[in-house]
Amino acid sequence: MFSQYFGNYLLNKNVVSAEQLKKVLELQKSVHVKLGVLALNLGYMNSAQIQEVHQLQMKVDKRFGEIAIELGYLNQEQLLTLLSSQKEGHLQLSQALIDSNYLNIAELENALDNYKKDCQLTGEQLEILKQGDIDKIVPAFLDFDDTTNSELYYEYLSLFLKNIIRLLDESPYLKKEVLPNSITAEWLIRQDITGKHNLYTGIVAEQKVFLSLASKFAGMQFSVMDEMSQSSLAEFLNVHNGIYLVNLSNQNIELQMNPQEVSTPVSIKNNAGTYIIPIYLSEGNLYLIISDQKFS
Amino acid sequence: MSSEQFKVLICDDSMLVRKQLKEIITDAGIKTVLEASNGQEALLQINEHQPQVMFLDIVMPIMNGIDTLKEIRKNNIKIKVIMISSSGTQTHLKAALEEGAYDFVQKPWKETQIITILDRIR
Repeated sequence: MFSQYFGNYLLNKNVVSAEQLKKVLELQKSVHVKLGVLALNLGYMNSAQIQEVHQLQMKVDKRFGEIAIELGYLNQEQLLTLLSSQKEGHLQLSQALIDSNYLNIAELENALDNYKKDCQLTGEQLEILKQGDIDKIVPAFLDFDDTTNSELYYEYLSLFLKNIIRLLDESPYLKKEVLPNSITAEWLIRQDITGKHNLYTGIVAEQKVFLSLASKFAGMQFSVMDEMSQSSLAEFLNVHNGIYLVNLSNQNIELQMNPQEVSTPVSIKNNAGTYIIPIYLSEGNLYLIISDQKFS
Repeated sequence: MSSEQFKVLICDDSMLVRKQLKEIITDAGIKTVLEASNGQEALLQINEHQPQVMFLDIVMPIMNGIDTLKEIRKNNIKIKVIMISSSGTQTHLKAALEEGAYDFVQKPWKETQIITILDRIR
């Protein structure tokens, strides 16, 4: 999860190319995280201290931890913490960037600092992102607090991201940004949820993105928005909304949903209570619309 | 019953779901697989072809799955109905059970679930 967020940040800032990002995302699966990256991550050492230890390692036959302790940069307890956290997934990307020589340790430190600042993340929010807990990530990136249905919206979006991973085999990520005021699109897939709470939901994307998602969901290749590809997208939204309703039902909130509809073309405005949420995917943006009123 | 006599009806408004289910059922050796995109169409198919089994979606336009099931019971039609829906809420489960559904499959389904149910019925 963190790899996707941080990796795409590096791509957008032209720190790495698309080709390089693809390579490191692949490489990170097999990479062995070294103590320097771990020490930087936990703030035990800065990049200058790590580089100093690395240079000494070339001259003396000692391990990173031994030298760092001798120089007073680490204590025994910190070294044990580093050794036990070597398996944490979110650091794989950092190590893969270094192993590929796309960044050195100082540049990595700088990039992580800039990421935190540019995304306006607090230290706590950055930790949540590193832990990859989607339920906690959503409130760190989006604020639904001005609506009466805020809890339902947070739950809806978290589940939507999980279902993109589960049903479409994609790695979605959000950005901390001002949401678009309106959107026009060739295609809108919508489904209304009604009952004690009304929730009007929809998905919008460029045709290229929709065709890619429809192909992934159906397990067959689509090159045009024909009836079958539309059916695939509508069924994806239907399955997601169904799971959402089951989750609410388990909390004793019983809602109903109407059959899905496909509309084209559409223009949707971001009125009060209507959220147009960009979700970043490998092929481009998917926009999720959630509203407490009919939006088109 | 021979595979020639055994008929299965799929009722779902999603063209994709009908295609995917039909492939699974056909691969399981069932030759006659009928399709309907809403409850009204399903009742016409039942009347004309008398299938033994139906996979029935719940959320559909024109006539939904629960109303279709009610019509089937009201008219005392002999058919095993397997609800197959993304919306397995307590309300829907209760309604399906009360109206005599044979089984309930939550979407997204696994192929083995469908095969297991068919094997149990045949």
